[in-house]
Amino acid sequence: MAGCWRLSPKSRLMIFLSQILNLPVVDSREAEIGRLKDVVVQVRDGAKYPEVSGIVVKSGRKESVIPYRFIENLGYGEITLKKSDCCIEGYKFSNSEILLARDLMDQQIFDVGGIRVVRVNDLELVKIEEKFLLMSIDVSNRALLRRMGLVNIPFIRKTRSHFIDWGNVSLVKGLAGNLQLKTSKEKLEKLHPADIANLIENLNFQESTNLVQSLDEETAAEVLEEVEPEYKESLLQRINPSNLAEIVEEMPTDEAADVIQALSEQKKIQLFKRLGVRKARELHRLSKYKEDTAGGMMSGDFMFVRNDITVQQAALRIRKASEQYSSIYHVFITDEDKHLEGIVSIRTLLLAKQREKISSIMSKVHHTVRTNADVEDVARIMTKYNLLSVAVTDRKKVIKGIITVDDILRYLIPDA
Amino acid sequence: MQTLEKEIRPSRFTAAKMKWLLILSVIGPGIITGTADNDAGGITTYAVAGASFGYKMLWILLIIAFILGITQEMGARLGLVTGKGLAALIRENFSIKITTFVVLVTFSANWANVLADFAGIASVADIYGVPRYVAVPIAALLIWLIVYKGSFKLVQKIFLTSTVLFLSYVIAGYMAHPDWSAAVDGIIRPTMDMNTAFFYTAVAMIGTTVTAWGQFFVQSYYVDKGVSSEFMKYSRWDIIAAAFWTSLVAFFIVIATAATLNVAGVTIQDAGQAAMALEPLAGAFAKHLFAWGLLNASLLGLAVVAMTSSYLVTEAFGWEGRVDLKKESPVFYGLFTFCVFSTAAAILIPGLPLVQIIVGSQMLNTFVLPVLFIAILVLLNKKKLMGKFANGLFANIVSWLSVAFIVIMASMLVVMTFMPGSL
Repeated sequence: MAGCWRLSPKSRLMIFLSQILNLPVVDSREAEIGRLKDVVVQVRDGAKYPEVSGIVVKSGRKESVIPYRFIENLGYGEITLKKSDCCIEGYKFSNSEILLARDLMDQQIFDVGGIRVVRVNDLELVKIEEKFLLMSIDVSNRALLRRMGLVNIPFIRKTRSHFIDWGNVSLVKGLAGNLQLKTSKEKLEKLHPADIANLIENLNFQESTNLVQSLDEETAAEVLEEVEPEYKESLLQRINPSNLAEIVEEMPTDEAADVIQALSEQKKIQLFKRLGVRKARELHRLSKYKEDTAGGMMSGDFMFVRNDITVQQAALRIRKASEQYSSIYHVFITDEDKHLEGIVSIRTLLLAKQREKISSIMSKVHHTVRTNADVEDVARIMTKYNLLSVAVTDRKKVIKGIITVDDILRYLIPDA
Repeated sequence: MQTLEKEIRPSRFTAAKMKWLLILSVIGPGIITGTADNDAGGITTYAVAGASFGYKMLWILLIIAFILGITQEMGARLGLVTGKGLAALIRENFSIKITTFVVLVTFSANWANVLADFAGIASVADIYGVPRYVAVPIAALLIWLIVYKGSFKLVQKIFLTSTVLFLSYVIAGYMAHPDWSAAVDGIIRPTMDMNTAFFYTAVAMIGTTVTAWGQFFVQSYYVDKGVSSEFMKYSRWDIIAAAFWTSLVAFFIVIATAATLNVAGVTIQDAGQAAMALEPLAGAFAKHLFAWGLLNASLLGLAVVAMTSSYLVTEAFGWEGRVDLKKESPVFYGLFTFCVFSTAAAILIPGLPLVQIIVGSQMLNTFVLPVLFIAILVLLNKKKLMGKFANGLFANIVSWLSVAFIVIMASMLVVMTFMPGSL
C-alpha cells in the first residue's frame, strides 16, 4: 500500500476515493466502529474546490455520519478518529452537500472543458494544510483497472490517469435530482449554446429535459435552436408546457414557429394557452405558410412605422417597442395600409434631424420577395443584390416578415 | 385566444385516434427484440422440435409467450422510468466488478450467438449452391455498412421490415398442410414424452427466448426511443404484440416441420436441413420460404446482437466518446466491426467445432442470467429509482417465480448437455 502514496514537493497528500472506501474506521479507543461507506463534501459559493465535511460509516445495517473535525487520519490503511462516540445518526444532508460515492462515483458528469459527457471512474482528494479538498475526477481506464485491483500488471502500470479539474465539472444528476447546485449550473451556462446543445444530445431524454428546464429561459431558447432537429422533436415533447411557453417567448418568431411545428396537437394547444397573446397571434400567422417558402422561413421580428411621422416620433417608437424584438437594425416604412414603401437604418435615423419627416430620409426598397417564393429563389436574390435581409410581402405588397442572411445559411447548411 | 385554439385544433383528431397513434409510436423495441430471439438458433430449435415431436410441443409456446412478456416488461419499465441502459444502471447501483463480470460474459455469449447466425447464413448459401466464402463476407459487409452508414431511423426501419418478413414462416407453415385439429390440441393439452430428448428440446426452446442480450437490447431501445414513462401503458401493447408475434412465428415453424418431416419420419440437425427436407414434402416454394426466412432471421439476429455487444461495453465503461462526433464513438464502431468480422472469419474456418461453441455460449448465458435478473429485480424494487413504478407484491411474486423458472431451465440445459443421461 505504501507505494500508492503520492507526495508532491509541497507535501500535499493525495488519495483516491476508491482506495479508501470500505476501509475500517477506528475510534480513539482503537475500537472498529464500522467501514467507510461514503465521503461527504460541502460545496460553497466562491470556493473553487468542495471541502470534505464528513464521512459516512456503515456498521451492519446502521449508517451514521462523522463530522470532519473528529477525523484524525483519512488515508490508506485505516481511518482513525480523534474521539469516540462522535457518530451522528439520522443526519439530514443539506442541498450543498454531495456524497461522493452515492452522487458522483460511476455517475455521468459534464466535462465543461472538453465539452463532453463522461463517466466518473474515480475521485481525487487532496489534503492541503488541514483540509481535504475534492480536486479532480479521474475518467481514465487506468482508474477502472485500479478499482478492479489490476494496476500492478506491468503494461497497465504505464497507462496514464486522466484527471478533470473540479472547476470543469458540472453534475448531470445535480441538475436533475434534489441537489440543486448553483455552481454546477453556472459552469454550464458559461458554455456556448451550441456546445450545451451538443452535451444535451449525448444525454438520455430525461436528463436532457431536466437540463433544458433548469437553464434560464434565454439560454434555453438559444440552446434549443442548436439542437439537432431529430432529437429536438422528442425533447420538446417532454418539456413541460409552462416551461416551454417561457422558452418560446424568448425565441425569435421563426424559430418559435419551428418549435410549434414539431409539437403534437395536444402539446400545441397546451402551449398556446400559456403564451402571451402577441406571440400566439404572430406564431399562428406564421404557421399558415409552407415550410420551404419565404413565408415559412421569415421571422416576425421587424418593426414598421407609418410614413407620415417624424424622426423623433420614430425613435420614440423604437425605444418603447425594443423589448419585444430580439434585434432591430432597420425600420420599415409603410403607408397607412401597411404597403411597404421604404427602409431606414438605425444609423440613418440617429444621424437625421429630429423634426424631419421619416419619408424624406428613407431609401426605397427595390427588392422584396413574396410569401410563396421558394427559399432557393430568396437565396438567389439576396446573393445577387448583396442583401443582409429582405422583406417578405404578400400579393398586395403588405409587409409580412423579413428573412435575414442567417436564416438562409441555416437552410443551406442544416447540420452545422 | 378562444378562436385561436379552435383554429389550431384539427377537428377530426379524436381521442381514440390519438391513442392508436401513441401505440404505433412506441411499437418497435419489444417486437424487434422478440423477433430477433427467433434467430438462426431459435429457428433451428423450433424446426427440430416439430420434426422430432410433431405437434406435441406446441403448448410450450404459451409458456414462452408468457415469460417473454414478463421479462420484456421489466426491461421496458426500467428503461422508460430511469432513461438509462441496463449496463449503466448496474454500474451506478452495484459495483464495478459485477458490471465487468456481466459485461464480459454477455459479450462472449453474444459473440457465439453472432457466430451461430453466420452459420445460418452459410447453410442458406449451401442450399443455393453459393460458396459460403462469398456469401458470408457479403452478409458481414452488408450489415456493417447499414449500421455504420445508416441513421437510427433507417436501421429501425430495416429491422421492422425484417420483422414483417418473418411472415414467410407463417406462409411456409400454412403450405405444409398441417393437421389443424392436432395443432390446436397440441396447444391446449400439455403432453410430455418421458425421455431426455423431449425435455432437452423443451428447455432449449425456452433458453433461446430469454437471453442476456435481449434484456440489454430491449431496455436500451426503449431508452433510445425517448418515450417517457407516461407512455408506459402503451409500451405494454408493444410487449404483448411481441410475445404474440414471436410465438406465432415459432408456432408456424413447428407445424411446418411437424406436418412434413415428422410425418415422414425425417430427422434434422439444423434449420438449413429443414429447408432442404421440406422440398419433396411441401414443394419447392415452401423450401424457398423457409430458406429465405432463415437468411432474414440470421441477418436480423446478427445485427441486433452485435450492436447490443457494442452498446453494452461502451455504456458500462463510459467509452461513449466525444459528443461532437454526432455518431456513436469510435470504440462503438470498433467493437461492432470486431463482432461482425471476427465471427464471419471464424465461421469460414474448416472443421470449426460449431456445436460446441454454441453450447458454450448457452452456458455463458446461463451463468449471467441469474446475476442479471437478480440485479433487475433489485433495481425494480428501489423506490428511489422507480418511484410509483416500483414492483408491488404481486409483481414481485410473478417476476421472482419467472426468474427462478428461467434460471432452473437454463441450468438444466447446461447439465443435460454436459452430462447426458444424468436427468
